Amino acid sequence: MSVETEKYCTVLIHYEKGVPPTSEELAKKLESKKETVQAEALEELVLLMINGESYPKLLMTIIRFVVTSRDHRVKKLLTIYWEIVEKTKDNGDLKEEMILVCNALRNDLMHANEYVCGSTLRLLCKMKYYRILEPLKEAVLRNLGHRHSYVRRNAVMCVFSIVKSFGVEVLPEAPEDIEQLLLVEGDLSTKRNAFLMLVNCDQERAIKYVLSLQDQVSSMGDIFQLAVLELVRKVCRSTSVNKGRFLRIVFDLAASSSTAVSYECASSLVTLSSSPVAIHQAAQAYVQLLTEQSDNNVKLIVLDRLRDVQKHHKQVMEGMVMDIFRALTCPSLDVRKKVMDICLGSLVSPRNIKDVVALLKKEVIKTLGYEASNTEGNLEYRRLLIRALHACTGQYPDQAQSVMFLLMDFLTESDQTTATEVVMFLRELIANYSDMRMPILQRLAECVGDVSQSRVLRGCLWLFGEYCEDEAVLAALRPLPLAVEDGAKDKKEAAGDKKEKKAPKITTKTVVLADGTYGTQNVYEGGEGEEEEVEDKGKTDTKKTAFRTLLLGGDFLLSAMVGVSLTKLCIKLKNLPVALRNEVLLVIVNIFKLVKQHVCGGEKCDSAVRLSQCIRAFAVMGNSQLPPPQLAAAQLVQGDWGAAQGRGQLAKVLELAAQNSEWALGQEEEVQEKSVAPDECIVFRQLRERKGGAGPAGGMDDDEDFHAARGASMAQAAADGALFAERLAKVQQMTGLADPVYVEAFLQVHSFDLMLELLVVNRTNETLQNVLVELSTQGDLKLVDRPSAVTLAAGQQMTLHASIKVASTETGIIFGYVTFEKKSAADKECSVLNELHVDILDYIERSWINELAFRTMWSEFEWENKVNINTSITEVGTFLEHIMRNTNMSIVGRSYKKTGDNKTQKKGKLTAEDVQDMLKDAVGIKKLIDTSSFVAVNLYAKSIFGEDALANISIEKLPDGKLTGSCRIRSRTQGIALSLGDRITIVQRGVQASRE
Amino acid sequence: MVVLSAAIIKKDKTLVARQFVEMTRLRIEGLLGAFTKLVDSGKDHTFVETESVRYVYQPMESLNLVVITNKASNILEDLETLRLLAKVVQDCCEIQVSEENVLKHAFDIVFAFDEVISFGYRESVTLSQIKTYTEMDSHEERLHMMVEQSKINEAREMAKKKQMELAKQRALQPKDAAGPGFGSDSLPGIGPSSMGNSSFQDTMPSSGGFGNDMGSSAPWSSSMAEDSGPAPLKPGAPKKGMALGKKKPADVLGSMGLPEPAPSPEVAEEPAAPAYNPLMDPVRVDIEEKITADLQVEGGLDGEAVCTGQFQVTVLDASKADLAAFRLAPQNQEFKYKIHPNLNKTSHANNVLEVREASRAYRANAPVPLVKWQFKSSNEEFLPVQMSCWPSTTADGTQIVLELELTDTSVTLEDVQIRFPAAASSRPQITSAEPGEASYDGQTEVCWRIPVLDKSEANGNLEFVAKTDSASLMPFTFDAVRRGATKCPMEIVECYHMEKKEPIAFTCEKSCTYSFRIGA
Repeated sequence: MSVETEKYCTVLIHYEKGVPPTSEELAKKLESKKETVQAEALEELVLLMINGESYPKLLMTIIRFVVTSRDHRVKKLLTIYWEIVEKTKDNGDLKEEMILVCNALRNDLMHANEYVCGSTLRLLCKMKYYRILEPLKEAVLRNLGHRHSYVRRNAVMCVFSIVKSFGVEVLPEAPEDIEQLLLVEGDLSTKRNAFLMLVNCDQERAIKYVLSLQDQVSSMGDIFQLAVLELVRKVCRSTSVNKGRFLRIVFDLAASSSTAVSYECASSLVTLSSSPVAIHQAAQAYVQLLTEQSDNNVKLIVLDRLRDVQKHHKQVMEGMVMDIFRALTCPSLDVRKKVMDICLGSLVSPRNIKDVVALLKKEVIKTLGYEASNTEGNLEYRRLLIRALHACTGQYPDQAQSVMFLLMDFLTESDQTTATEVVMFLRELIANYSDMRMPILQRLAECVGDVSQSRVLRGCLWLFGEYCEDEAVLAALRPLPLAVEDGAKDKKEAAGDKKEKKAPKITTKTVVLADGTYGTQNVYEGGEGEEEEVEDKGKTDTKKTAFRTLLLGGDFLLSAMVGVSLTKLCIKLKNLPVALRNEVLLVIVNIFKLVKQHVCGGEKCDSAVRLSQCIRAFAVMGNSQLPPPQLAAAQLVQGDWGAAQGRGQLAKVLELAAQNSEWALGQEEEVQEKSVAPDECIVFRQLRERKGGAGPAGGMDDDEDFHAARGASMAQAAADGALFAERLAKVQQMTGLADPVYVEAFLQVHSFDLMLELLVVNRTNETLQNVLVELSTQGDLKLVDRPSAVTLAAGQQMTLHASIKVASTETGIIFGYVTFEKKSAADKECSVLNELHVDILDYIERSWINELAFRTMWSEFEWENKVNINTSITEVGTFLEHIMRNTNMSIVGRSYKKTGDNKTQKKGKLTAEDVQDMLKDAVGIKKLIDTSSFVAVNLYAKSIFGEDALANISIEKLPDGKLTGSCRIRSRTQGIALSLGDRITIVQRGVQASRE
Repeated sequence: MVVLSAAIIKKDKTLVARQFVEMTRLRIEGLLGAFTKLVDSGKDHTFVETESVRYVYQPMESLNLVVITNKASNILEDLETLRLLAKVVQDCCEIQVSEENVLKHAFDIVFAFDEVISFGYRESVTLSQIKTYTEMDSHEERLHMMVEQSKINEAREMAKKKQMELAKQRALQPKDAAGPGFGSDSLPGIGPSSMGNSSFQDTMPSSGGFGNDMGSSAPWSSSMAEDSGPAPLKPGAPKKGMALGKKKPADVLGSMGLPEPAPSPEVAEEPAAPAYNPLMDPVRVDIEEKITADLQVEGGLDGEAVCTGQFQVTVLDASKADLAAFRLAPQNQEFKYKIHPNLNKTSHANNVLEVREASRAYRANAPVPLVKWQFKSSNEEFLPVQMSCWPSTTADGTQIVLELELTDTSVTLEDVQIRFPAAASSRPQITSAEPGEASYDGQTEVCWRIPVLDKSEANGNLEFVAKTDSASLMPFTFDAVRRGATKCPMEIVECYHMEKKEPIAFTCEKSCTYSFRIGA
C-alpha cells in the first residue's frame, strides 16, 4: 500500500550528538532496572534516531526490557520511539518483532491509567501498517466507550485515522459507533473529533447529524462550530441539495461570540454564495474583526480577505469604505497601507468620495499634531496619506481644491519624499485642470521661498516655467519667481563676491536693477528683496539661504533649472519689458559664471552647456549676431520652449504614472478577468486533477490548499508532462560511457529543496557490489538523504535518489564519486563524478519594485559585483533581452500586468515573450535603445528566500558596433551578488556559443 | 485550519519541531529553513506567508515559537493555538525560555504540544488540563493498583486461613496420621485428596489467579512483597497455600525473606512433674506489658487507657527445650488474647501453650512472642497514679505546680520520669521537687526523676517557673516501670517438653511500662 511506503517525519529535536554511543552501550543502559536510567537511555536513543542514527539491533532490547516498564515517562518516550523506529525490513515487509510490539500496545490500550491509554491511541494514529493495527482494532473500538473523555477523544481520532488510511471496510462498524458516540458525548473535543471523523469518512451521517441539530449549533463550542463550517463548505461545493439549510446555519453562526467562528463563517459565505446579502454579511463580519481585533496579524489577514471580496463584489463593499477606513487608527504602517490598497483600489466612487477625502484630510491633520509627530512611522504615514489624496483627487477634481492648500503646506517640509509627493500632486493637478492652475501657481509662488529641497524647488520652477503663460496669471505671478530667484542670486553673487574677490560691479548692479524693477511692480516683494540684501550684507544666513546654499554648493541641476525656467518664461511672454529681460539674462549669466568657476563645474559640465543654451536663446531674442549653427540651435530651443512641448511630455509621463500607480482608481480589472477565451478549457471541479487551471474566483479548496502546504506528493509531480520534458532536457552525464559504472543525474528543483535523481548503470559484465554514490556539496547546500549502496548485476540499471536542502540563493556545486567492488578484485574501485552546478536561476523569481524603493536599496546594500560587458551581441536591445531572460530580472519601475493572467506558465520565470513585452512597454528605454548609443537600465528580481537582487546595466555602443560597459549587481548578501554576477558572466559568453 | 507543525526555532537551527500531519522530513526542514530567512524582526506583525504556507510566530526571548499552517487557515484560531503553545513552552521551560532549557525539556514540550493539537486541529484544553494530561497521574490506576494489591493480600490471607484450618484438622486427627516430619518436606504431597477437604479446593481458583498475576508482573510483585515485610514471623502458611502446583509464587515468597518458623511439639499430653534446674534455665520468658494513656491537665482520662502485653519466649538451649510447652494459670477473660498462629489453639483454650506440630520447634536464641493481649479501659482506677497540674500566669511567664499521687498503693513504680517541654529561651527555674530531683537539661525539657514511688512515699510535687506561656509547656509526659508484676494476671504454672514431657526450667521476667501524655 502506498501509505506504507512513504516515510513521514513526526518530530524533530536538535541534538548535539558528538560521537554516537554504540548499540551495546545503549542496550546496557536500557536493560537497567532503574527507571530513571532507562528513561534517560531511551531519551538518548530517540534523540539519536531523530538525528539520523539507526539502531536496528536495539529493537529487541526495547521489547524485552523497556516495554515491560510501568514508569509513565518511559511509556511516553516509547510512543515516540515507536513513531520513529524503522518498522519494516529492507524489502518493505513488516518486521516480525513488530508483532511483539502489538501485544504491548494492546496491553497499554487496556491500561488502567487513562493517560497511557490516550497516548497509545494517539500513537496508533500515526501507525500506517495494517498488520500492526489489525489485532488492536477491537481494543481501540472498545476505548470509544471509555469512562474518560481523554481516552475517548483519542480513540475517535485513532478510528478516524485507521478508516482514513485503510478505508471504512476495515472497521465497518466505526461510523455507526462514532455516530452513537456523537449523540451522547459531552466532551467538546471528543465531540468535535467524532464529528470530524464523520465529515471525512461518512458525510451522509454528518449531514444528518447537523441537520438534526439545527438551532442547537449556535450553542455548541467554538471548535465544534468550526468543524460544522468545514462540513458545510465541503458539502455545498459538491452538491447543492441542502445548500439553503446549510447557509442558514452559517448565518446563525455568524453571530457567534467566538471571533474564530465568525471569521470562518465569513469566509464560508464568501466561498459558497455570491448573493449580495451573504457577501454583505461576510464583509460586515470581516470589518468587525478588523476594527475590533487589536492584533496586527488578524488585521492584515482580514484585510487580505476583504481584498479578495472587493475584487469580485465591489458594489457590496462600496458602502463599507468608511468602516474599513476606521482601521487606519492602527499604528502599523502595513495595516494602513493595506487599508488604502483596498479602499482606493476601486471602492471610491462619486458617492463616497467626499467622505473619503474628508477623512483623509483629517488624518493628515492628525499627523501634524504634537504627539503624532513623535511617533515612529508618522512620516511614512503622512506620505501614504498624501499619495492617497493624490489618487483620490486625481479622479475627482472638485475635491482637489479642498485638499490642495492643505497639502501645499508640506512643500516646505524637511522630509524630501513628502515634499516631492506634493509637488507631483500639484503637477498633475496643474496639467490636468487648467482652471486650477492660477490659484495653485499663486499659492506656490508665495511659499516657494521657503522650500529647502532641491528636488522640490526644481519641480516648482519647472511648473512656473511651463505654465505661467496666461497674461493675467503672469501679472500676479511673474515677479514672484523672479523675485525669489533674484533675491537668491543677489545673495549668491554677494557670496561669490566674497569668495572670489571678483566682479563687484556686477553685484551692485544686479542689486540695483532688481530693486528698481520690483519697486515699481510690487512694493512688498521689492521690500523683501531689499531686506534680503541687507541681511546678505550682514552676512547672516536666514530664511532664503537654503536656495542660495544649494546654488552655491554646486547643485548644477538646480542652476540649470533656474536658467531654463527663466528663459522659458521670457520666451513665452513676448511683451516683457526689455529691462526685465536684461535683468534675467544677467542673472543667468551670473549663474553660468558661478557654475563655470565651481570646482566640480567647468565649461564642459551639463549644467554649463544648458545655461549657455539659455543665454543663446536670449541672444536670439535680442537679435544679437550669432554664428549660423549656434543661431539655428538657439532658434530650435526657443521654438521648443515656446510651443509648450513640455506639456505633451508631461501628459505622457502622467499617463505612465497612472498606469503604475498603486491605486488605479476606478479602473476595473474585473472585466478582464471575467472574459474567458472561447477556446479555453472548461474546468469541472469534480473532474479536476490536482493540476487543474485557475479555479473559479475565490473558491479556494481547503483540501488543495492543505495538500499544497504539506508539499505536493512527488508521484504526482512525476506524472506531470512538463517534468518529463525537463528531465529530457536537463539530464547531465556524470561519468563516461566507458566507465564501469555510468551515472547520469537529473536535478529537480522543489521550492526549497532539490531532488537529485541518479541513474546508475553497470556497464561491465560482472556483478558490482556496494555501488555507492558518495556526494558532497559546496555552497549553501545540505545533503539530507544520501543514496544507499546497491548491488548491480551485469548491465543492470537503477535509479537512486538524494535530497538536498538549499539554504540561500547561491550557486552551489554538487560533486562526488562512485565506489563499487568487483568480486574478482579485492579493492574498491572508484570513479570521480562530474560537477553538477545548481542553477541560481531556479531561485530567482521576477518581481516588481518601484524606483524609489530601488534607489533606497541601491544605496543601502553592501555587496556590489561589477561585471564588465563582453559580448558578441551588437544590438543593445538584444543584449538586454538576453540578460533579462537569463536572469529573470525585470525593469524597475513598471509592473508587468500582461503576464498576470498567463497562469499556465511557470510562475516566476520570464519567457522571451515577456521580456519583449517589457521592453516594448518601457517607452523611455526603447527610445534610448533606438536613438542613443548609451543605455542604462535598472533591473530587479527577488529570490524565493525573499532576498532582493538589484542590477544596473550601463551599455555604450561603440562606433565599431561592439558593446561595452558594465553591469553592477548589488544585494544584501554576498552570495547572491556573486552568483548572479557569475551567471551574467556565463550568460553573456554563452550567447556567442548559442549564436554561432 | 490545519496546523502542519509547531516548532521552536533559534536563528539558524530548529530546536524542536512537532508535525501534526504527514510530511516528509525534506519538506518540513525546507519549510523551517525558509522561515528563518523570511522572518523579519522589524515588522509589527508576526506572520509570514509564502506561496503555500503561512507561518505564525511569536518571539520568545531569543527564540521563535512558530506554527506552520496552510494559507486558508483561520488566523484567529491559529493565534489562539500559538498563545496556548507559548504558555506551554513557558511552563515546560520553568524559568527561562532559552535554547538550553528548550532542549533539556524537549520531550516534555513535544508531549505537551500533542495535547494542544491533534491532527492539526486545536483541542479545547487549558494549561492546567495539559499539565494533568502530561503528569499522567491517574486515580484509576492507583485504584487499580490498590485493588490488585488487596487481591494479593486477600489471597494470602485466605491461604493462611486454610493452612490454619488444615493444621487444626491435623491436630484433631490421631497422632499416627502425622508422624514426625509429616508435611515438613512433603508439602506438595498434602493434596486436597489426601485431606479430603473440600473447602481447601475452593481456594484453588483464587490462589491460581493470584499466581498468574504474580507471574506476569514479577518486578512489581516483589516490591509489593517488600511492603508486606513487617510481619516478622509470618508462618509458612502462604507457602503451603501457594505451593499447590505453582512454583513461581513460592519463589516469590521465598524471596520475601521470612524467617522459617520453628517447629514445635505437637501433641498435648499430661505433663510430667516439673524438674528444676536452678543453675541452667534453658527457657526464658518475658512477660511485658505497656500501658499508655492520654490524660487531661486537670487530671482524668482523655479517651481510653490502653494496656497491651505479650508473652515472649526465648529458648536458650534448643536441645532441651526445642518443644517447650507452658501451662498457665487460668487467665483473666477480661483481656483479649491472641496466640501465635504456630500454636495449637485448642490447647490454649486449656491454658496450655504448645506448638501445633513438631516441625515448628523453637529455634535457639530467637525470641518468639506466643501470646499477646490487650485491654482498654476508661476507668481512672485502672491507672496507678493521679496527677494534677496547675499552671498559672505570672508577671514574666508561667508557674507550674504539679501534684503526683500514687493511688494504687499495691504498686511500686520505678524510674518515674516526668518531662515538660521547655525551650531554652524560656529559661525555666525549678523552685521545688519532692521527692526525687528535677532538672533542666538546658535545651528542650524539664525532667523530674523519682527513682521509686511506692506506698511509703505516695505523694510528690514539682514547682517551676518558665518565661513562656503555659501552652508551650504542654503536653508533658509521664513514664514509669513496674517490675515483677503485670496488670494482666499471667502466671506460668509449669513448663515442660512437649514430647518428652519432662519439665523444663525457666526464668520469667515481668514488667509493665507506663507511659502517659498529659495535656495533649
